[in-house]
Amino acid sequence: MLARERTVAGPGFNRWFVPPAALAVHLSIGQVYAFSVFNIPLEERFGASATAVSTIFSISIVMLGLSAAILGTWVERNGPRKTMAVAAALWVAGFLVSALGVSAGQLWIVYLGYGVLGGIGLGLGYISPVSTLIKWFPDRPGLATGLAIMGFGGGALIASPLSNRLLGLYGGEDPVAGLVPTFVTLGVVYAVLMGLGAYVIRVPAQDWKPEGWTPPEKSDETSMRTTADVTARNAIRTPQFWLLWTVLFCNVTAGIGILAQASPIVQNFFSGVGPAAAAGFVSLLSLANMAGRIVWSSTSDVIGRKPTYMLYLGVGALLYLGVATLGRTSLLLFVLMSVVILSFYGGGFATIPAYLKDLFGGLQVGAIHGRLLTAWSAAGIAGPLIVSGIQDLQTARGEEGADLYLLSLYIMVGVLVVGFVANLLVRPVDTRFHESDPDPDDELETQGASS
Amino acid sequence: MTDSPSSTAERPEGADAAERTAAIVLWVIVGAGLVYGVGETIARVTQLFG
Repeated sequence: MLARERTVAGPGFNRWFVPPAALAVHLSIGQVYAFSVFNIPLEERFGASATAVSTIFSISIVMLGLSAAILGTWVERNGPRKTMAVAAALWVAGFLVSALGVSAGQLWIVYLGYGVLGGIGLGLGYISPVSTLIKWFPDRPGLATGLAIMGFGGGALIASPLSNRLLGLYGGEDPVAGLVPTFVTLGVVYAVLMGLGAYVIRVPAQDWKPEGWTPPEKSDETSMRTTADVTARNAIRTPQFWLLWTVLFCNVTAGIGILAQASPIVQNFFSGVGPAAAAGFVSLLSLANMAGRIVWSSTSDVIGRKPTYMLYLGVGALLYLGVATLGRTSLLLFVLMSVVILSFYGGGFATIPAYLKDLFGGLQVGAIHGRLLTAWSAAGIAGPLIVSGIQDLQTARGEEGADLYLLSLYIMVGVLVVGFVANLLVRPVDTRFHESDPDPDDELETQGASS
Repeated sequence: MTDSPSSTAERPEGADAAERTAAIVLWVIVGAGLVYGVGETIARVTQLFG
């Protein structure tokens, strides 16, 4: 039932049945960005510090990066259905074990549940539909991956209000009392949603292609879109992989830096903005983050992946400069520039699998994508550290208001320029890394022409 | 461009009625979820300029 060969689509299968399966998984695991809803009730339940509770989220993100990097090849070998089923089991187990931890008053059990088990489910779930979608949409890979990865941004938009309502429903005035039933309910909801996704997902037959679409001829040496394939093992030996790692790291570092501190930043830039309005600003950034994933990734199918990242990083750097120099003059201008920056942040996540497909082919693009996601984990530490570290430094110097963040914004301009240069340096992968004759039945055993 | 497969090779499984129904149900669920999430978020966004 779960084996890859049992998921090969038959004649007449509509490829538009695949995106909702991918969306179902990404909408479920996107809940991780709404986990902060539980922070205060968990602090009260365990009598723990904010740092101790926020460690739950940190563990899950670290496990996401590690599991995607380490298990990417396993995902390619076993196919999307088995991967989605395992991801669902782990993600749901994360909620149920955490409910047990809350019930028992043991924070370490929540670390183990949501952090470790849930985090591995996150990593597997994130990469599980990517290569499948690219195979179904060889003519529009950016649109396909944008659709799925948009779901990851949308998951938080759904989970945040839903979790608040569940806490109110089960706990009334006492959200702590609502934690256990809320975790169990979310686990059941995500089990159904991800289970349906695993049931619906299909891989195309090896000789399938969209009707009317002609695969590109054998790529020439200057084309960024290769028709050859590179294994995950060989991909990490290429400069292109590390240039894209740098591109993703810089794009995410800049975006996450502003996202993590969005509420205090807008309140310090504009003294008339209170906490409620700042929450509206954060929500707007979340929408921009989600919309950017589908809009910019689809656009990359038309204008090309390299120009798209020049836009993210080049225009992004100018916008950061604009926020630093002109941001204080107008709230509307500040908000508009921030919205575009965050749309580029989301677009960077969604476009990267299609960029990888262009450079390394579709053979093991999921596994390569998994390895590249370590850049996300690293940026998740670097971005907030830069912004909060500079803020502490400026506070110690007696600075206040927008001046607390100006140095951070200029640093982000520099980070984006580094990413821009890295993207400029990307060239087609040397043919010595190409698989000479990839065998689909033994594709993961191939070692590459150069090894 | 249509989305029907160009190959006629034999497949272990086809797109049967249950699959189609599940896929359509899933489209409805994820679509409704996104509308709910976006709607709730827009309601909070209005606080920014309210």
